[in-house]
Amino acid sequence: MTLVIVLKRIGMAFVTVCLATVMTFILLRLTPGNAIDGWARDYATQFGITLEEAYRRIAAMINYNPNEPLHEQFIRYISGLLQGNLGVSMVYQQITVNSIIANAMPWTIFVATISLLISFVIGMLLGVRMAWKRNSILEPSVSLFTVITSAIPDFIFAILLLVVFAYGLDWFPVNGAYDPFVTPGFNIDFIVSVLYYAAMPILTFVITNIGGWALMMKGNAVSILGEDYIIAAKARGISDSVIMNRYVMKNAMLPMITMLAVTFGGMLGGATLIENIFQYPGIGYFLGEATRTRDYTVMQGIMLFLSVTMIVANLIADLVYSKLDPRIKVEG
Amino acid sequence: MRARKLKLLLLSFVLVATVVLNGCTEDNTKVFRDLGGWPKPPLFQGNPFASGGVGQASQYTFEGLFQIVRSTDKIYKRLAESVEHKGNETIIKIRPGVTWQDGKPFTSKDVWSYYMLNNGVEITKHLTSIEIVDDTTITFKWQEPSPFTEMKDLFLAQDQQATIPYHLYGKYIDKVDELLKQAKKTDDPNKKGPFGLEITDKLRKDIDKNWQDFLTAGPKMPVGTGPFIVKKVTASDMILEKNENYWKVENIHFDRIFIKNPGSDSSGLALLKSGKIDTYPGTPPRDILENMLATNKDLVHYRMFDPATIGMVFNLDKPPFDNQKFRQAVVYALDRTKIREVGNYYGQEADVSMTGMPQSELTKWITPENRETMTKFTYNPDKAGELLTELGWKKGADGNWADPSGTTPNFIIGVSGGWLQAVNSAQIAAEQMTKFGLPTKLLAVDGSVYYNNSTKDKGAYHMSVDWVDVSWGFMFPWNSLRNFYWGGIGNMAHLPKFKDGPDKGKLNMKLPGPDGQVVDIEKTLQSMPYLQKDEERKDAIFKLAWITNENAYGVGFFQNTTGYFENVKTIKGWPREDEFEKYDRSLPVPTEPDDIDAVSEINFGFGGITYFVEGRLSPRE
Amino acid sequence: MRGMIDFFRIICHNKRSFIGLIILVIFILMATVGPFVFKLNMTVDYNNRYLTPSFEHWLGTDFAGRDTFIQLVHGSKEVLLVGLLAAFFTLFVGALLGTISGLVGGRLDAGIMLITNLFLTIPSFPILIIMAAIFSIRDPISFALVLSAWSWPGLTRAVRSQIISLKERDFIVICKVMGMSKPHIIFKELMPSITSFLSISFIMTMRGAITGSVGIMMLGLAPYSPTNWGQMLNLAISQTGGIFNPLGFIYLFSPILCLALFQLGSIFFANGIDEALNPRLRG
Repeated sequence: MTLVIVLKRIGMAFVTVCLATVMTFILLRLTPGNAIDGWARDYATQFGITLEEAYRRIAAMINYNPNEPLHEQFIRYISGLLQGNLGVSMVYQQITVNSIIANAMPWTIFVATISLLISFVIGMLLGVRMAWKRNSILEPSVSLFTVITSAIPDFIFAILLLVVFAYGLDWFPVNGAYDPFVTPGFNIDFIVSVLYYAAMPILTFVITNIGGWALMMKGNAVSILGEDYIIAAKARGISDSVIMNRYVMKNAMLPMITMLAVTFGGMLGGATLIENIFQYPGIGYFLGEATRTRDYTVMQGIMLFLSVTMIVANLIADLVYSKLDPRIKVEG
Repeated sequence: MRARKLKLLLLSFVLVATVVLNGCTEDNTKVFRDLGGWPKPPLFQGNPFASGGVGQASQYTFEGLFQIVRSTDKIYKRLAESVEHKGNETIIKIRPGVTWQDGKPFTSKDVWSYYMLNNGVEITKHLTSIEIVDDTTITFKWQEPSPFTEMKDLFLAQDQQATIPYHLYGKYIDKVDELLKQAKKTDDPNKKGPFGLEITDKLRKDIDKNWQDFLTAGPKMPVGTGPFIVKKVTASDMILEKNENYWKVENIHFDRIFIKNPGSDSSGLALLKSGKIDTYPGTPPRDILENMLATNKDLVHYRMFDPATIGMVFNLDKPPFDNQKFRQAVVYALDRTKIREVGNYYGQEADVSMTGMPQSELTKWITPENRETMTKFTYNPDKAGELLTELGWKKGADGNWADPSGTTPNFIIGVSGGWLQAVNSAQIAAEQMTKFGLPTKLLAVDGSVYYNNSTKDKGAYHMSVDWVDVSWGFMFPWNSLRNFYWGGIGNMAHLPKFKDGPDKGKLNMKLPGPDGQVVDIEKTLQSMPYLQKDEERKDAIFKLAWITNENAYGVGFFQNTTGYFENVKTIKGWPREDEFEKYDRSLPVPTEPDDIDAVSEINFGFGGITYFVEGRLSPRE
Repeated sequence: MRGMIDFFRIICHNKRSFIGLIILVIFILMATVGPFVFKLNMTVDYNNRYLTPSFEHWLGTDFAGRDTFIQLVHGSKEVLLVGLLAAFFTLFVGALLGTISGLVGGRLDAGIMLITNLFLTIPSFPILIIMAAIFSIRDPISFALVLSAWSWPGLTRAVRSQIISLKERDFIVICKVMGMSKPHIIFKELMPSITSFLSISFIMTMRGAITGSVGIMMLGLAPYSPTNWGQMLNLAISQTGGIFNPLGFIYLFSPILCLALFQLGSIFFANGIDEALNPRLRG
């Protein structure tokens, strides 16, 4: 793999990011509907003002001029971007999009990474074993586990876990990211609290995702098992566990790395389950809130950030993949 | 591989260890455990007017001169000590010695500040000025003609005057004061803005800009005069502490308020069931409610009238819904009992189509004789069929009706998809219409496009499901009537309006009333707050309710019944204790006047934290 | 023809895939013949809500006293058809583009990957809202197309990496050296090796499509249908709070069980396909 090829890849990724930025911008501007109607009604009720007054007031509260030509808006947005500035929330006017992302991203990445790694590793181990002993009880039981966990909505799973471990046994907290009585910062209390509070969301995610990984891994491992070098290895009397873990596992896992990157990218924006049920202050909540209030600046900021993460994750997966599998030539 | 396994092992060890290390943080102080929502940090800020507000903390931290109880219109004095109506002036004495939570005194200047900055509130349209007499006296001067006395009280009581402290927002208050001074007085009702001033477009722009600046200037934490101070806000929890300087601190029997953000209804119910919260708003479906009470014996459920009806309005711009008889036929064709059973089992059905006021209010404002003259629209498919036949519709062999030109309609009901209670009710209505022979489909659309789809141009739906016949705020029916005729519901019904001329945008509705005389709806509504005599008001209310019902602009499915779960083991002071056993802790909507007052006030949405301020609640030792 | 007979012989020979086949046949019957056998009546009968299973109501009744089983039967047509079609579209596009991209490489690969990455990153919400404003879905095919619009890119990437790792393996290299034709390599050598991966993806996509159809309904892109399994589940959750109404458990778990059984049937059946198409696994 030469430097030129790596650079070419990065260039392609950059082009993708640019295109994604433009398309997100345009799409959001084309989206019909608004949040003002519902909002105005709530506002009128809450503050005892008439509906017209509420409309007027909210229009004044939203920092957006729909009459500004699209290209001017776009130029303003891009010039902000070039300075690393994603803009100010249209609805929460004292808050910058940068600060929202900076606050929310660490939580999401923290939970997503840990749960993804745990479920991936366990899934890989299970998958290989399923392929290795195709007639054992393991295969149908994992299949059964998978269909059950994927047919029961994540939502119910989370509630069940909560009812057992948080409400019933009182082992874990009900929700939140850390104990409200602990001061956030680099102190042992806070760190312990964060880990403790993350346990349930992680558990939920791991349980609902292991099955899929295991089944996909099994599919890959089965095809590797038929390979000549496995048969040769068996013939040479290499122990089963070595063949399984060294040869089959490693080779079958390689194509899964791409899936890992795609899933990771998807999880960052789509971890709504974790973030809603467990009141986790991650990016999913803020994206949801921005979508609800049609806060275009926050929406496009977060979406851009997610696009970049997704593209970078895929780029890394590609590069890592070719590094791990020496037979693959990276083509530019 | 081995290294990773080791790491995994370590991680799980840490997770288990944290469980052991983390003890319970709850202490023995007197705590009330509530639940609710708020914008999560970093979105959270202390200005209650900014986007998202301060969420559930609002009632605990902020108060007004009065507290009005929605659904009963009972008014408690809070920061006001006395009110005196004298001619076209209202003189209010403020309680002396009240301080803001940051220690600064609360004076009449703060009340004045509230009305200067927040000049869009309803009362300012009826005032000429607000004058500070001294630190504890403030005078409201009314325009002529001025609203009747009770109306004045309602206008004053619906505002939360202690929310804009001058010492925090002085800059913006002075600015708006200066801007308002530039405006001229006017007598043209079309140009009249706050305080009888004509606000030109230029001025409007400056005032809006100032308002916008004010919104971003809030402190990090709310500063009110209320009994509790917000100390900590995270995504999942809020901690409030008692305000030791509260003007009625002897009534406050709690040291802390914990508020949990449940995230979903299910989490909220689980919190309630396991006894981790002391209160829970709402009336869930009957079987969940019964399960809650059966599994947690400490709970009591109080049900109360909600002055709000879920229903459906017809789009007058879409034939055949422009025809009064056709609309009436559809109302007759709906079996509202079945809709109510699914939508809200405990709800109240109406015998009218819709009246512009919740069913529960009809008896209060309309005499029994007058009530008799209003057509009953209870389920009667035969009558519906007759009406259709009169209009020339024919029932085909397939059971579907065809209009005089021979076409079978395909109707669409629109509803906001996120609101399941309405979706369920609407689905039953669509089902019933289809079965009756008028094929109808339901479209559950995203909330952000629903209103626009329903009201724009000719409207995308034949029928729209929403809160109809609803009184947000005070109960005097003018409130709910104008909510229908002037508000969003009227727009969904596409009520006829002047397209141009001096009355552009106003209702073009002159319809025969109960005595056959023509009633101008726009004029009647406009005059209502100024009718000084009770009989005149009742007469106007009856006329409008009668016309609304006869014309069947829509159909109220059921009046909502809301409720509250309370934990009576941890907290004492809840009402109707002697009836717990009789009703097995599931208390129906009260009928005794005292009970109605007491039960309405436990609802935070109706009466705020009246139970705390009046000293009724305390922790059980 | 002989291929088909062989195929079914293998399927029937394998116990697991035979069970899978039976499950699938039952579901197909349910979706095609079922609605004609069982008449749907959605009239509210509140006093008979949450009935336990009986001869009259095989799976009891729902929160409004309507037969749960018959709702499932009537919902199955739309759910299975939309799910299958969506999974098929996804698989077709994903496998095709992924294979081309992986095999051909070069500029074409770069182009396909660019489009794929774009689709991976462009948010679906605004597009769905825009579509909802323009038209309303009335047939299963367009419903399935909308659903698969966001699921193909992930699969394309996955298939591509599968192909890339396969094409350098010994047996493919040997085939190339032996001068076998491209189609032969693709269909006889490469495809069989990824069928098990594809079949799992197919099943996962189908499940995603079934749950995703609820979201599309709630945006107003398709008419509201209370018998859609995903929507039944939604309603059951809102009426039971998930788990707080024991009376509603049968109603809540019926659609879950149907989804699970259907997937289980598909997975078992896929096992058989695997062996039928992948000769190396037999014996």
